[in-house]
Amino acid sequence: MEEEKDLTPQIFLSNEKFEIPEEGMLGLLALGDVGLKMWRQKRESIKASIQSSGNTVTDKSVDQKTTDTGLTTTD
Amino acid sequence: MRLAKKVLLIGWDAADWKIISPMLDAGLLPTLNKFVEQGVMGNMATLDPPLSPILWTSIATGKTADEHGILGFVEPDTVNQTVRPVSSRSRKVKALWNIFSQKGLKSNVVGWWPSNPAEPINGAMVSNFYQKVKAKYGEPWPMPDGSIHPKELEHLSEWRVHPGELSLAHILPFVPDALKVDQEKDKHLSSVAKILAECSSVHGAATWLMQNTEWDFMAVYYDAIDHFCHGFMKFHPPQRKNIPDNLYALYKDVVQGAYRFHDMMLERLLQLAGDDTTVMIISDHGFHSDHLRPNRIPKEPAGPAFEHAPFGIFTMKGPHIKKDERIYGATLLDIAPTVLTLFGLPVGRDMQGKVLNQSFDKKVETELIDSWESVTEGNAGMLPGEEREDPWAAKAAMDQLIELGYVEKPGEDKEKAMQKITDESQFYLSRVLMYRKKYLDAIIILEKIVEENPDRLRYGLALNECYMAANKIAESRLLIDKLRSSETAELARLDLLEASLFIAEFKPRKAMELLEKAEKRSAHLPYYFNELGRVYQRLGKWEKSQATYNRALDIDVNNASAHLGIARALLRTKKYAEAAEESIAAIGLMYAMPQAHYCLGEALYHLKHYEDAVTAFGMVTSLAPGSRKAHQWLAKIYREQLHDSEKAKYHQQFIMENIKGTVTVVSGLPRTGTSMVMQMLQQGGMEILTDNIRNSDNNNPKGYLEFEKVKATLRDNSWVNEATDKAVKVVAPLLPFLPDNYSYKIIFMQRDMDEVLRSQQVMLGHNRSVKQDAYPIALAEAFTKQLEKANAWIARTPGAEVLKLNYKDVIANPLEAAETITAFLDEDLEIEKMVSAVDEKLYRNKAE
Repeated sequence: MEEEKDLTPQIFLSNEKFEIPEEGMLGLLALGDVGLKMWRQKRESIKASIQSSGNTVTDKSVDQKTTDTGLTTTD
Repeated sequence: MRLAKKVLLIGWDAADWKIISPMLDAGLLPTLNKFVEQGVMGNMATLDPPLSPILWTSIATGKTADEHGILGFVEPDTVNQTVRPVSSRSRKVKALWNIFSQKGLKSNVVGWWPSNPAEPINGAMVSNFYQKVKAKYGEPWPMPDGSIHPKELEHLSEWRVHPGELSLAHILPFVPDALKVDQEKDKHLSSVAKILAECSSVHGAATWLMQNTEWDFMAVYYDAIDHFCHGFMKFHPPQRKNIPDNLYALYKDVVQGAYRFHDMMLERLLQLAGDDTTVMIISDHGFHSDHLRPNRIPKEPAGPAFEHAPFGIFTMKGPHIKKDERIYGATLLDIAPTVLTLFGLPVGRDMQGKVLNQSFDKKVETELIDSWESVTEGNAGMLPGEEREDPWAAKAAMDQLIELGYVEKPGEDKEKAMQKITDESQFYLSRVLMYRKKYLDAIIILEKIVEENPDRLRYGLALNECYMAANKIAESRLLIDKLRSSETAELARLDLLEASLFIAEFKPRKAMELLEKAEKRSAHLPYYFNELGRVYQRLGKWEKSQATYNRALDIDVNNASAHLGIARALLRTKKYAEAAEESIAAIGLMYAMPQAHYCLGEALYHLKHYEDAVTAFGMVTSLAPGSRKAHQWLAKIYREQLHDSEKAKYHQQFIMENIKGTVTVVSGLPRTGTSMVMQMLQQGGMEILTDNIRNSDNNNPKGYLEFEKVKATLRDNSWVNEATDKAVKVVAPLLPFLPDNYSYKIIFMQRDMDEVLRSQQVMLGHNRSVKQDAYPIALAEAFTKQLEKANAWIARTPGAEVLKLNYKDVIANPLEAAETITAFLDEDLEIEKMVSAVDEKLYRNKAE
């Protein structure tokens, strides 16, 4: 581990604020653990805000009826 | 001298420059493009058989499978009487990370195949079971036992990605019209999600370890390119005839998507590694992406490996690595020695590859030790003893292998399944031995499994290849005839094999006839044109051979044998500059090809590049230390051109002490046409060893061409050194008394025994027919016995090759005989003059 190195992913070094999409993106997977962590945190925060507003959580991962891909079918 | 502070070794299974290069040109892989510009790149030749667990273990150990012990995707589990995925327990030798552990260097290893259970190395290991998905999304998803070392890093499980966690946003870059897919009927999207999830899991663990642990060596293996290619290469452009338009439109971008995703992951890995780390990206084999894609995958274990191409990728950058340069001749076996050298550690003499010195910007002397296996100082972090395999983990991985098509579904009968898998691994072992040119060892294995599995043609084909390589021509003939009668025989492959056999039997015309007949079935195979090219060369038809080899290159430009064939043809037609170019092309593809270096040396000599010729011939002597001709060239160049008498003397001395020459022997019983063949050779331009003491007479009006000292061979065979590179006549009974330390090319003449006896009687002045008197049974038996003894000596003498010719056939068809002899001797003889030496009128004592 070398402390002096800045290991922040390039995508977050931009001056413009980067909004992580709830559905994720390939670029986040390519970042490895950091990207996964951010995406999962984003989902958690959305889930928490929906719960706090009293609505039902519709996490696609537990709601979907179809395949292991996480994608809903076209029907 | 240590060149690297840290080394990151990235494995991209099945990555291939054929796909990458156009993507680099199109700007689709920006990170890799920059990487290649900053370092060296080249092809990396795979090994045989091209099966990933075998190959990645060879990469990590520097040894072939007969040494490292990993023999395929599965192994028999003798405790449970079943079959299990190959495990790290089967590896018999140290991998790089074990050596580093002993030397106090820290390693992180992620996803390497096979690495379960994880080894207790100095550092961390995440095994290849870590990312496997068994549970449904949302259900508990425990990691298989042995997934992580050390235990305190088991929290790495959180970086695993389940396919169910992915969304459409992850799939669209691979399948832009994913929403049009009816997933009830079409399971391709599931497959994309699964591969992507598993790949992301490996990447998650790797990136975490890179940031949160100290490491000197990091090895990360990604199997996604291989898996995407097996699933989707059939949809890759250009569209193939059998691919429906709708499926082509949906999935044509998946393979490119896979590479682009790896380029994105690479960007992060490089950022985490830093500029002071030496980074290597390698693949174990390529993947056919063009017209070489097989039309069908054979229904056999490891059948999908038919889609693998023989060259993977190698690229490396970092401190002391040359920039923007191409390197040549790398093989998988070179990675371990090169990584050891980067760390300033010695290379084991028992490692089979070489250090890729051409990559370094300074000269580096390779340090050597006998073997790392005998180094006991320091803890190597290898697994302790035998442990029981976790059947759940094994089953999950097995299901994946079955799904990928690498493994057949095991039958009901477990014992039968286990036997099947044992035979298969023995088959792979034999192929490894063949790769190492240990044909006699391979024959022992193959004969057994061929006998037990006569219906498995691929075993028989491999056995035949060994017979041919070991010069067991009679065995090959028997086997080919047997395979021809098999119902499962694949005619195209058999035709090619039999053509090779005809060449080995020195029947080039028959080989050509068969190849011409087989053109319809086989003309899509580069191998077909290579064989045909070889036949033309045997017949001295150099231009035709060149055109034929070019057709092999039209099919596959990376065919090293075709480049070599063209180089030979160009050499013989005195086009030396072009011959050198073609030799270099062959070497660039397959460095360990001494024949190509030899051709290059000869071409460079004629171009008067003597120093370069010395380098080329020097490479021949290093790759094939027994090459007498290469030493002869070196002695000649040093003596005549470079005027270095010391070095010339060294090579001459080496030849004298270590390598005895090749002697052409014309043999048989007296009166079988041996003098006639000697005359053919002399007329054809071959040097004859004769003292002309015995003059011609009525029995042999054209002369005997004998050498008196031969008659005394029983007590003194030292005359043989005078016969090197010449032809000499030796009667059959004297053959067993020739010294063993020479190579012999024996033209053995055969003739009907009645005719032999009659001719001998005539010669002795008994002008009577054998049939007129009592048949000399005892004499015939004695001669037969002598022939048996001579044949037994030929069979057991490793340096003896034999061509058996029938006297009657030579008389009847002298042209074919002359061609056959020329092919056998591999000499440029003048065939027409040889034919003129045969006089039909001298065939006088015919059998009745």
